[in-house]
Amino acid sequence: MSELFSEAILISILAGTVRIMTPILFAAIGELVTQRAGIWNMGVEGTMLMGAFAAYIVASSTGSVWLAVWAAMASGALMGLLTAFMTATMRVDHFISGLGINLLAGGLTLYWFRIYIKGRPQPTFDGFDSVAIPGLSAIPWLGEILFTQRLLTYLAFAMVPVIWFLLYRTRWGLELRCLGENPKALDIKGINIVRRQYLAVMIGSVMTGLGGGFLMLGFSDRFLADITAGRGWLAVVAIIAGNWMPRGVLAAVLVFALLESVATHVQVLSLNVPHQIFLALPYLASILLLMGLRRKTNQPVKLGIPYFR
Amino acid sequence: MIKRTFLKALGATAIALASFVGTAQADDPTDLNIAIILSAGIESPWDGTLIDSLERVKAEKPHGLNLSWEYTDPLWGDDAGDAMALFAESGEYDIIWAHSTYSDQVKKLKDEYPEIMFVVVGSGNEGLGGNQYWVYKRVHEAAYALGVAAGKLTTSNTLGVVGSFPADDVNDEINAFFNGARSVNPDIKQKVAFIESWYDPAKAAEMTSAQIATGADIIFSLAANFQPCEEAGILCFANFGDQHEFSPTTVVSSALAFWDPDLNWIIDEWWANKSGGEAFDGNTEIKWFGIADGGAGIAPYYAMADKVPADVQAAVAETIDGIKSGAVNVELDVSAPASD
Repeated sequence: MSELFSEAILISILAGTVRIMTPILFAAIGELVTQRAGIWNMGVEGTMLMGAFAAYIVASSTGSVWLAVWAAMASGALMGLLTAFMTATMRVDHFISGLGINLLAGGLTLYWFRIYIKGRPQPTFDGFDSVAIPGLSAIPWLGEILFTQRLLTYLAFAMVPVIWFLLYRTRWGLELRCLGENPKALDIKGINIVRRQYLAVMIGSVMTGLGGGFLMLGFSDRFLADITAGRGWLAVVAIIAGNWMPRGVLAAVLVFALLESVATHVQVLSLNVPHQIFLALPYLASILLLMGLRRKTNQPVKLGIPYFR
Repeated sequence: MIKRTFLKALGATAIALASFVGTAQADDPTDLNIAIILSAGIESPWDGTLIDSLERVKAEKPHGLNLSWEYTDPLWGDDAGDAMALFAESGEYDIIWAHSTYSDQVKKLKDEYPEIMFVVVGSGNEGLGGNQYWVYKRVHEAAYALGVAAGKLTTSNTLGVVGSFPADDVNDEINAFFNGARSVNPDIKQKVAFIESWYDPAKAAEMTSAQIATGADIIFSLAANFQPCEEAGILCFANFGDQHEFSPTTVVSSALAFWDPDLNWIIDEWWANKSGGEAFDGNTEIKWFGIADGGAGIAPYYAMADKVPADVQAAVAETIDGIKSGAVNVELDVSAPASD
């Protein structure tokens, strides 16, 4: 057990935590905006998968990781447009539209992937390298953990205060939160509800697509079917566990990622603890958090309820 | 007169025999159509190597047969069972090759379609016999040879293996890899991690990074993600297919699976049934073909040959030759491996 607390292992665990957080944080903090606007987007997993796939196609065919990032965001935007059309315009049940998005993404990515690789070895690409921030990366411990990561990881963490500021320190954010609490009030003021909901869904979906893109460009060198492996669902759980607050969502994602990173290292170090316990812990933790939050929930009152004038 | 009668009789007999033989040949099947249920996808080494082997066997035309096949996307459970039933019902397929753990689904169909040969592959299956055959693939001998190279190349004396699931035909490879390393370097420490999935590159990357953090300077990756090796500038070994192209600067060599002898065995059994009238008699115990039978091997070093000293290459070649001749006996250890 003492090996677990050696300096090299602790740094590895925490650096791994930051890496693992990145795709989930993009999706969770983005979807927080969507949910604050009253749209319960259950298609996060599918949107993330499309982002990963688009990033793969572009990165492996052009060799440009930045073009791949744009492609991931564009695919997220498209999925967001579809989600917004179903939920805001057609007023389809949010859960049903989300499940539809997930099924669509699973099927489409598999179909296109098979066509893309047919008759040739699967193309690979070089993803993002870690970038050591001059000066900061030399700080003992923190340098390796926080400041020797990939550029998109820095962006993901930067988005947390940005989203917080937008939601809580701007008029636009106040109105957006009002969409999830009392859309009728905005409607009476003459604000276009549907347009605002479209924008909120698009923000969430673009960030989710970016999360999928990072999963591809930061972790892998090739696409595989269902590569997101439940990370989109974990983002949804993080929003709930984080009680719909940016800081809470950040903390929830941190806990999930830390538990996963510890689970990885526990297995490698062969400690006398079944590593499967750690794999289940994020979900167990979220259930416990949900039970504790029932009395003081910040869940938007109109979340998931289609608005009819 | 007697002579003419004898010659006539001889001629008639010859014609009759020739026509009999001719009829028998005409009745022999000329085509063999195989339906394949894939488990992980054509891009995965497990499934991809089967198709590669099929292409080679097809070119050889065993028994003069024209081989053709169709394969599905990855299917499991009831979906796989439904696909098998559809293939069987169509009447177009002679063999249904289910390329993983599918004996539960075969059990429901095999007696309903006794003329069809069913094949299941790998660990987790049940030997049902009759018209179900059980193919098994072990590449532990190849992993042992790679272990010999790793044991000589390591400077930290710590080797890592990232596995998929701790299954019988995964454990054998991992244990053999470490045994091969210890055969040339008794100080080897082993680090093992399972991603608990057939595919999850992100988790594989984290596992690999964790192993590197614990001091491993060579990784045998059964989970096919070599990016952390590239970042750390260390060497990797790959599994089941030649994965040199995925990371030409880190993948030293790969353990290779060849399904050719398995396919030839199955085709021979099918031929014996269809041509010779022998009843299907599927194996109830596992049957596998190793390096000596052409069922496994290791990939070339390509440009990585520069990073493998001549004495290491010689030791690996000697090991392979020893396995082929029987001088080297690789222990089959399927116990769940753990980190030191």
